Amino acid sequence: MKPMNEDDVRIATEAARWQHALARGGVTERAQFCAWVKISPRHLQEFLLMEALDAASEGIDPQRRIDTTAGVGTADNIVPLVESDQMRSAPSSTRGNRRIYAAAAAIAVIAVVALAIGSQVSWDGWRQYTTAIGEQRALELNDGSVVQLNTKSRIAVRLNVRERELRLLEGEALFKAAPDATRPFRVFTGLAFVRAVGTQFNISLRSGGETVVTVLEGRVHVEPHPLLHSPHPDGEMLEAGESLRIDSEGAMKREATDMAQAAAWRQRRLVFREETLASIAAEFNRYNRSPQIVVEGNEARNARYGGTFDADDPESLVQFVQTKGRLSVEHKDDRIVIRLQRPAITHSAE
Amino acid sequence: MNERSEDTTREASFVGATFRRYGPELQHYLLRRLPRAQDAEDVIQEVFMRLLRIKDSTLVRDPRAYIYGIALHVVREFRIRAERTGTWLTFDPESIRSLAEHPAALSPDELPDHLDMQRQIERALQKLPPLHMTIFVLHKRDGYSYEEIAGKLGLSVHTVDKYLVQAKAWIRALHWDR
Repeated sequence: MKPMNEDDVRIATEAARWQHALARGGVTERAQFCAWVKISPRHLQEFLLMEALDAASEGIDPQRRIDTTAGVGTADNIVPLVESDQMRSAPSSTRGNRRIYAAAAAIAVIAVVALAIGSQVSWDGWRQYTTAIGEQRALELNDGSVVQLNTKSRIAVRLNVRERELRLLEGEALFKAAPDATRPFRVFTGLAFVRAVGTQFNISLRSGGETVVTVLEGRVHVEPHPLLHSPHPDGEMLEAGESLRIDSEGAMKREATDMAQAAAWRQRRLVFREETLASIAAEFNRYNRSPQIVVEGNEARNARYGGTFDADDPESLVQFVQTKGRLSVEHKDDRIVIRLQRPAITHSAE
Repeated sequence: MNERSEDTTREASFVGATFRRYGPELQHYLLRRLPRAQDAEDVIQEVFMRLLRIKDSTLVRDPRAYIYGIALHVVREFRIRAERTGTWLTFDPESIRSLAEHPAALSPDELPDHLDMQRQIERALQKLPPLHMTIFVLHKRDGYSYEEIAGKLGLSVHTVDKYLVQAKAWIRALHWDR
């Protein structure tokens, strides 16, 4: 068959559109479709090919090797699109590129909890790395960039000759992008695209659905996802020492940064400044399978505290909490339950 | 219904029945032949000529079934002609029968073609932008509806539809343009 040109692509697109319209449409659509198909045998042929494609698509990937989470992840983790100019360009030899993606090998460095969790090459060239609860790892990518992955985190990486794409799907990671002006280094989170050249930055996906980007060295550009219709559609440039918080509405807010805090997790220290007890507990639980910390009651959950803790020692939080008179701590099996001491008089608390 | 002439009603119901009976067979036929054979182009040309003869398109209740119905006739005629001259590859009657009875089952003869096409689709998928790929896979492999995919990915149904159309056209372009 002859190579497809722009016209072919247009007809193929129309054919696919008609398939969908026929499935849902009424009399008008049917008549319009008939008119369309009568314009040229090419239209008919493309329509039948689309039907054949549909028929064959039903049975694709029986082993379910195609990972639909690496590309998109969770509901709010939407990836950017390269629109149709790629569609028109001839899909030349990307075979070589694929070998490069596949060669994106990792060196595991810090595996605190020695669990057999490694990387997983997904079918479409994305390689996923996961850390278990309590585990941290450093990965060196084949371009020389290093990614330090915090506990209970997940990242997908795909390197090719044109770009270096990473997706932070869960948790937190520190990125040291190797300088390479020809290949942008971009990290996608559900809410934003973070682009860097030769720099060091930290991205943290918070339990409340926020993303926090902190620059330790160099500069990065943070752009909110277009579907968020953010009031800052062009994004913001961040300098070293700056930090930006993006909420689920796409609102972006610069924050004062504690450089030590941003990277403290690498020493397995948890630094909190006026965070809710709920998020402090959630952070501890990301490091420790057991005991899990449970905070009961909205007032206790929303109370804000600050402090520096040893991530591997939930008891350090217990001791801290006990210095706050209002809270009680109870050990239940492998859970630590924190709640207000006397729920009956909560109305008198601040 | 009452506006429709008796002939057309008969024709439409015939086509509908034909489609139900032979649809899968025809699909597999097209699957096997369209990408390469000259025969297929001839079939298309003939089907097209016959489609042009439909005077009032609004009477076609199910255009898809209608096309299949016409194509089926054409394929049959081609086959008969070919059997006479001995130049045209025919279906194995046994596999046609088993296909008509068990549409999902493919004859051992067809299986390689079918798998080949699936592999080509899978390869083409690798070149799609991730969101297009994901939507296509969720719909085709996992059987999610547009609405479910929209909910899952936080997109509108319209967007899901648009991406699916783009994904298909893209696969089509990558599939036969190598």
